[in-house]
Amino acid sequence: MKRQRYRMPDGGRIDRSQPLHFTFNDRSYQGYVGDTLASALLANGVAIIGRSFKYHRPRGVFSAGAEEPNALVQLEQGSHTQPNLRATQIELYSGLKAESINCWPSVDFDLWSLIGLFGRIFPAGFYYKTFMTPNLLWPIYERIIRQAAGLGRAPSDPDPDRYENINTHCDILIIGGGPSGLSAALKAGQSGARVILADEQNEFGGALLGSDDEVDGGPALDWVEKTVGELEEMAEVRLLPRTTIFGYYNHNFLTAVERVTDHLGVSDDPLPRQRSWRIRARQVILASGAIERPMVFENNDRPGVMLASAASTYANRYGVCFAKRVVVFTNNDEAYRTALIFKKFGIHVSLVDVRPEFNGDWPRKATAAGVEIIFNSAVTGTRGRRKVKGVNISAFGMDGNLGETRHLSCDLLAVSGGWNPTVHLYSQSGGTLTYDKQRMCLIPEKAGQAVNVVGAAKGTFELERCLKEGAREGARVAKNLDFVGSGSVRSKSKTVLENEQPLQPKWLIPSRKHPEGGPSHFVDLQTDVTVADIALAAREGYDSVEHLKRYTTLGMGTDQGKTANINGISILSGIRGEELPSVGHTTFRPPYTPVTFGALAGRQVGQFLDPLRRTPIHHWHTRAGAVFENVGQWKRPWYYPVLDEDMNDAVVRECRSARKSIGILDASTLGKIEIKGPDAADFLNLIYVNSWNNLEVGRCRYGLMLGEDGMVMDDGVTSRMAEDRFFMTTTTGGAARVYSWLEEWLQTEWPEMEVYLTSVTENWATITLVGPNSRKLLGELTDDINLDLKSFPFMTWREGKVAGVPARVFRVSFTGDLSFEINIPARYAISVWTACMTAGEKYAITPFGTEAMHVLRAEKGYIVVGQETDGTVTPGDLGMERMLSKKKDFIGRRSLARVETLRSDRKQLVGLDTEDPSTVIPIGSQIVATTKKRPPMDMIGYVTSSYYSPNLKRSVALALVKSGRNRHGERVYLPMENGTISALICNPVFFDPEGERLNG
Amino acid sequence: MLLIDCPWCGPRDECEFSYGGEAHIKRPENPDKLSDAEWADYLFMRTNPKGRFPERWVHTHGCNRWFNAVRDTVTHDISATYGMGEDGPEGRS
Amino acid sequence: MDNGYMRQGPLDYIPISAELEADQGGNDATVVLEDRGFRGQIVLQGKASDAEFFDAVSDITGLRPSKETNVVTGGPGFPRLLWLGPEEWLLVTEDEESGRIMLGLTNSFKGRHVQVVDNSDAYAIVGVRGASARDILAKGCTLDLHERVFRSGSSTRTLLGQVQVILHQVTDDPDYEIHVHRSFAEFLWEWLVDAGQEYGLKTVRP
Repeated sequence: MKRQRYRMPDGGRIDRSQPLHFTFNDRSYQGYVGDTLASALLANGVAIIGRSFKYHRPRGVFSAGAEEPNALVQLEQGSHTQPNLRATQIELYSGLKAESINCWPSVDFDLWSLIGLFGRIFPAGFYYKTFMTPNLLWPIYERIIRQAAGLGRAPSDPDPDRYENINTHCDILIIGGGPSGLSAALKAGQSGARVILADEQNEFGGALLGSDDEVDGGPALDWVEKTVGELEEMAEVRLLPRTTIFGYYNHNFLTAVERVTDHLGVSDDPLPRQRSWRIRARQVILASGAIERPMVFENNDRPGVMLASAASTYANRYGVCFAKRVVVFTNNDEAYRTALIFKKFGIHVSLVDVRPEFNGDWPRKATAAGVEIIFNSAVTGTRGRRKVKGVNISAFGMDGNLGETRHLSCDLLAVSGGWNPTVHLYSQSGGTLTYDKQRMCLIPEKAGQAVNVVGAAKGTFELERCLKEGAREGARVAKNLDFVGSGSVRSKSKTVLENEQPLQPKWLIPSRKHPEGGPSHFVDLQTDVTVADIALAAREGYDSVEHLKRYTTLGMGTDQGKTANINGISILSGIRGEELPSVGHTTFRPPYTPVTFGALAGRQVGQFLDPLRRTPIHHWHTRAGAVFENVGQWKRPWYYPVLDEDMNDAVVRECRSARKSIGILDASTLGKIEIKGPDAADFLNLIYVNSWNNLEVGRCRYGLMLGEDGMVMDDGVTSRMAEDRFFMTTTTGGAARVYSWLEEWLQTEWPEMEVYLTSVTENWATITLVGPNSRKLLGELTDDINLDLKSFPFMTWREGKVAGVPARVFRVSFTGDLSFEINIPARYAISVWTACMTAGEKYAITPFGTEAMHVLRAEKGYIVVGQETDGTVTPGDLGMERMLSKKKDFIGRRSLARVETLRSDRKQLVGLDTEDPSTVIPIGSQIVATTKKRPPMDMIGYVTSSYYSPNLKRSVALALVKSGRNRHGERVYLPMENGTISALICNPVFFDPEGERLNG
Repeated sequence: MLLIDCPWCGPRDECEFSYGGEAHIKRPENPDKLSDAEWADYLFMRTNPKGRFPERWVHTHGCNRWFNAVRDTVTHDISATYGMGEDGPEGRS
Repeated sequence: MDNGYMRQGPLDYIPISAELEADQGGNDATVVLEDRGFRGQIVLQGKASDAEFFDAVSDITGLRPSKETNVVTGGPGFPRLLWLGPEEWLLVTEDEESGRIMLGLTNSFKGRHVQVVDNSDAYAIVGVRGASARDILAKGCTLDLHERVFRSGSSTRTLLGQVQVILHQVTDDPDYEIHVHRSFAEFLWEWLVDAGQEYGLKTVRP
């Protein structure tokens, strides 16, 4: 364990009484509660955090926040591991384990860094140019590239952590808890509006956390504490620290991720690790602050080069001072603050300002404090491979060119290129940006949604104005939503020093090496894009921002170019000789910072991935050992193996029993719709292809439903319950669709029709008894339904009691055998089913599943919508043209007269009689009339259903074949991977073609 | 995620609704009188404007009512919702 | 014939541990999940312009169907009449009352264009009450459940945990009742139990 040699004895927002131990690259270190991994590593003097993406150059901490391009680590190991996390945003916890990424064998000695020596051969577009040919070698190239480039490792084990999604609504969502956001929240909260204040950091305060500003005459952080305290007292204000708003979508819908227990490390807490918020806000106040812009010069990527604001933050907030000599390099006033902070700690500070000497409060104050100011000069490069040891500086001559170089030794180079508003979310929301020529940055222009920008996010960089703007907007936005409250007087900050000398637009400092000398001037630190890459891309014609981005990968890292894009487009505009606004900028897309898949998925994984539906008899099936099949969201018994039966044995037994004696099927999943009204029959006439006016009460009819395109959409039996009442059944999968379909026509096309619909699918359980003994069995269970053939003929229904329960019994059949569908209220389903099982014991009643059901119906050539049909099949294709009523219009009728639907070579339903009766053709097999040695062959159709029929002791198959009905008796072939199946086209009805078994 | 103002239930999240395509397409009174091309026009052809577009939605997981909405296909701004059979702000275009 | 032993509720197979069952009140829990058992659930559809329809419902049930959207007439006792759509209401009665009321309604609407359907077994009814009830629902429901928007006496169809439900806030506590299609009941129950884990959710059977 090493002591924290760069930690100052006091100051900062860390708790020195609570040390935390952690390991980085297998070495143990100590930090404090309140640290980030980055601050703790800096306190321990760890300069190299990782290696760069392409050239494997050593990289250190560059920023103190979300914009960090360099200090990416692999956090934790095994199933908990997470790649590419920004050390600047990882809150330190006890036992934290992190590793560098993208280095081999170690971060201090990385063999891949040799690539850097050959930087000249890795220019932009290198992969595109080099690995294009030959194609066959690409897999090998890819493996090598993936090992050399890339970032962390994705975990390979399932994620053991818990994640949540939660929806919420508010009147005003305030993004960012810095001075302007807090002021806005206070005013908005006082108005009584429902307010959410979200900030990505662990505590509120934003930039104030790293500064030494004053508000209301005291330390700014006292004001933060007081304000947060007030907000916490407000019932309608929700504070969300550690919460990053990462997406801004339509209609003020925003997504956020809250790191609930990340800062506690690996734990068994019942709380989720992360919670993703889906927020619908009436108004948004964007107070997302600004990101400092780096300077671009030779070897500007070395460990020890850092944004000036970050250097201030590490010193002020974390009490870390990791330098003995500091050079500050700037083109604006802001960096004078950093110089003063380090001076306060008694460190030697030199400030290199590209601007000519000027008189002002800042230089005066700095000079008085003992800062050495070097005006009209620039840092042209750094020295020190593994950590900055010194800088080269040159003065600008009269001609604007840099003169003689001199050396200045230092171990920290703080750079400042001015502030750039964090406009990512604003841009995501559809707002446009404009280039502010005075402040030299992109600022919000025209909002696309109900969003209001305050503070630094708007280009307002002075504290006093941020406080004022926040309070004003907070109150205004609330008032516009009719919330007016009485609030305290707004807070003020005496801004001691205004920015008095404007920023000088100089960010790119040329040197001997520029622009062609290999990797030297880094623009995008994460993706290793240099000035030379941009120049090359432009020369090769990729000079639009979008092309530049994709050709060079500028801004395509996990940080999305937060510190890189603005320099990139400004360099491009220089090359193109145009103003920056005309070059434009690339699109800002969610997420603002990377989000875990876990947080996105929430609990919608595993058993909660998709809802699961169980029939009222489900638990009986479970106890009977049924194997279930997924049918849509339903779990349906597939087959019921007995003892050591396999699926085939079970299905054979089930099929035989259903034909020989009696089978019992849970058909509760069938869709059921009550249809009522004086126009009900007319309505059915339009919905179904056949006619319904003449259906008598008490009778049932099979109906076929088409889409308006004439294609079969659903089928089922509909029964007349009364003159104005029908009971429709639909397929299992079609239940919801058909109900919506009927409602749609009634509401949108025929609102004058007096018809009401109610879906009753779930109210009724359906038990189907099948087989020659089904009448006998049912007879034992009912006293009030006369079951004899004359009183209860095929395709009729009766009401009565079955097993003491009020029931509707339908004499319909999906197997071709005598069959009764018993509908009973769902609550009685298991008791009626059990009664059938008990009374049926003497007939060896056999529960059968969907597989046997399919075999039985395929033996009869009965279609299943969705299996024999796929949305391109007409009634004629199925041989059902006789059902089509000629006396009325119905949905889809006109389409059946279209030239396309009348073609004689349409695919039609046929049976297939395999040469070898034991061969079961795989469903989906393609059919050819003549075989060739190898594909492609002329395919004339395909198999839709295929089973082994135990009752016929042979296979049965249904298929759709071009002009199939005229081809009965023709031989066709089904080429398989291992040989060809030969079959004759035949009638699709294999079993009992005369239909003699229907009546038992 | 859009926020759709159901004429009955008020603003609700898009996930409660189903989309129903272009609005104000009337089923022909007498389909038999139409040529194949005319029928195909009713069946398949839809305008696909950039900008304001009258379209149908149904509040599937709500009041189960169909209604019309005018949505801008570029900005997703929904400028009006109104009942079936009613004229929209721009007529039946 | 309506013998209790013959009935199977949609949540009867959910194990509710003895320990939790003993804690009937669930007083120390911030949220309690309850199987509310059998109820009469009758769907009524009639025209908003049909005054006689409204009168008849009122005569038989003592409740006038609301024309105001997403509003419940009656409650927290029974019967209650939930607005489902501009021409659709759900009448919720005590289980033993439903047959009588159903018969009364059917008879009085003879010859009228009104639909009355007994859908009692189509839905399970799950109660969620307690301080954290709102947070649990918010995990899977996009409705704004804030008391300024959805309050006691509000009801609507919506989605909860990807499942369509009818959500009714019965009292200010808040106490919510969720009518969920029977086939989804176990899925939703388990989803709610899981959602409530962080709040120490307890499960109770009446």
